[in-house]
Amino acid sequence: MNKEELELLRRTVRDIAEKHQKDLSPPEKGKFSDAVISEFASAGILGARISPSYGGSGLPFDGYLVILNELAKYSPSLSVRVMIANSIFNSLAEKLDNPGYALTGISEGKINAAVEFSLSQNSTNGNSLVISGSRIRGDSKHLLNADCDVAFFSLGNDMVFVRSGISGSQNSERLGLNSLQYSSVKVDSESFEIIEGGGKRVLKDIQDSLDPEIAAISLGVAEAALSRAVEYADQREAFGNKLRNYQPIAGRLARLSFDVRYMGAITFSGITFELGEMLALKMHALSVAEEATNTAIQTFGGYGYFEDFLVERYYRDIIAIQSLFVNRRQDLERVSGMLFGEKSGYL
Amino acid sequence: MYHPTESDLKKVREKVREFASRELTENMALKYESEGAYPDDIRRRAAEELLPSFKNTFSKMAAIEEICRVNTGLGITVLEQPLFGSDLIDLHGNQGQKSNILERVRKGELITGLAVTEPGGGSDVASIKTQAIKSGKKFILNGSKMFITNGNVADYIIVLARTSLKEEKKHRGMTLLIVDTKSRGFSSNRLKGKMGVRPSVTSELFFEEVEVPEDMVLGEEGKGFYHVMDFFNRSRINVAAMSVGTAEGAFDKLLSCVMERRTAGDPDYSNEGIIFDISELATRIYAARKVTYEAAEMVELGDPDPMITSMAKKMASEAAVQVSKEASKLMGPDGILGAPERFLRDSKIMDIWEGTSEIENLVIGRSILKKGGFLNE
Repeated sequence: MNKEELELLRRTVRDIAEKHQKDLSPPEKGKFSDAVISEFASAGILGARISPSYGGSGLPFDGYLVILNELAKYSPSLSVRVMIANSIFNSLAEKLDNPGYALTGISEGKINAAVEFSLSQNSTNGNSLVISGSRIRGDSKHLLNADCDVAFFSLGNDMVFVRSGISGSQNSERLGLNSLQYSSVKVDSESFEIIEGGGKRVLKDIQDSLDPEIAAISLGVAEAALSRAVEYADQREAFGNKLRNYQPIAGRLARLSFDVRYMGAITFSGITFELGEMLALKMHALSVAEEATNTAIQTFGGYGYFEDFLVERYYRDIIAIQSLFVNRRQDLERVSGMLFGEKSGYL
Repeated sequence: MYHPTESDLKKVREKVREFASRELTENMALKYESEGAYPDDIRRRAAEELLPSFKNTFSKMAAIEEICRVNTGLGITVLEQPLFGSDLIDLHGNQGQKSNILERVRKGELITGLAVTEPGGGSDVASIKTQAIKSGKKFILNGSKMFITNGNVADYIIVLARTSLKEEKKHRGMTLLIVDTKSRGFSSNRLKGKMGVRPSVTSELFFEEVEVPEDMVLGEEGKGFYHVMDFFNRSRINVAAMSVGTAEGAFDKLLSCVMERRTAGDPDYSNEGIIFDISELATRIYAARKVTYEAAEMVELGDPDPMITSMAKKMASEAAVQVSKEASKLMGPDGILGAPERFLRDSKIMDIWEGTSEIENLVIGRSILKKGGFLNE
């Protein structure tokens, strides 16, 4: 997409998000309002990467990254929901006999989709799904988007797609991404489809390819937290001076702002990166986001510890994103493998 | 010089551990995370069973460390915070204040709080606007305070107010007043939506023509600012102890996870990358703990060193933040639930309250420049 198209896309996301800012801000209630979902669906945001034949926008990757980035500034949870639907679910759905029903529903905002991805992460969680005759039954622990209509689950070394009969329990108290439901779910369904032939391996490959998406979301979080901190430092006085006049505060905010701008310029440059470069970009973007969110809270002082001032949400969300979607150990093994040309960093 | 050994503190630690495992259960944690009810029943039992162990600075710190190791938010709410500010009465109070208030606080019969910060004031204590005008044998107090621990549950709140407008320097002309929260004109509003330490009650306070008898002046009239700064030089070690406990608690959870979990068939503890992570975090906690107890030693000797106190608070609070963050990330999806996520949310207040890390940097740096160095030799 050219620069003007990308800017138009960014402005579209921003305008809708601004309109629904209250709905997208804490306190988050474990789900999005119908108005938010409906408007983002109508604008083609929820199905950004889904094929137009299934009602999606079929946007190029650079446009998709801009959406994730801009959404993350207003709601990291919504950005993650769009990523799960478009990057993970959409890729797995290619293996289905008839993906149309689910993908069209996602694009129209009528279907919420989940993927049980935690098994390939470091987790003690698991599921107890078993197929008996024509039914699949069991529980899955801690599913993100647990109020879903359809979902992919692990089943041994395969994946299974369940079209109905998924019921979530009470939303779990947790660190972040609190606009998404996160709980254990019960599955009891006769409508399912098994993806044979290393479904789990496919999921792992998809997760390994999420580096640009995570980088774009991280940069959105960093930018939002920093812009709030800069605004606050420009207004707030302490010891007779504006905060911005204190060298350590101004210097730290300036350095981080340049880091974010620099990382943004690379991420949205349109250059095609190799896998290792994207991984490095993600790792650096996460690190900048962590520092930016921490700096924002420190700049706000006591106020930063309260949800009304929004910055603490970014701090929690960026850690939650890492806990759920990033496995630093596996990432380092991937980098080592690229450096040495074969599997390395592993005894 | 008294150097406490671990065996000196062993009984205190065991007692607190037993109490915490019995009282600070996961059910209680969930109940009081909702920022609703105040855990007064647990506080009363903590006062009865644990406060008698507060024989010196070290035993108090060991108790705070141990209870935070189980649950920081609930732990400090029932054990450390009910006494908050009462050390000022110990340091500067008259006999009546000591017998009528301090002794009862130490028995768990009363709760105190300290009100210094004002809306828009933050770390800039000298800029406070709350005023107390003398009228006969009493002061008339007007103004408001922000982020006050125990604001809605305290029986007495020690309030820093401006009592003279004539002073050229802003930090002069301030006085500490002990305000009975049943006084007419006093009101409070519990602030909700905190990131962490949610069982703890944080409030904004309003004083409208509140009458404070002159025998409730704490310490010297006009010296309130200095009394408060002296207090923070002591109380910051408590924050350091909370932080060390929080870091240890998060580390405990990580260690259990690493010992149990297998990734791709291999136990996590056999992975050298994880061994290095564990090593980094443990080293950081150990160092923070050492400097915390060194700062405590100076307080115990009656000669707190603001530089060492600030070093301890800064190092320990940053360790708590770092360890709890890394633990959550390393634990993966398990790290965003239950105790690990609570430790992470609770830890972040440690490098904000009683002086942000930036304020600690100023205290440390200026102290070094004043002394021309930082080592005693």
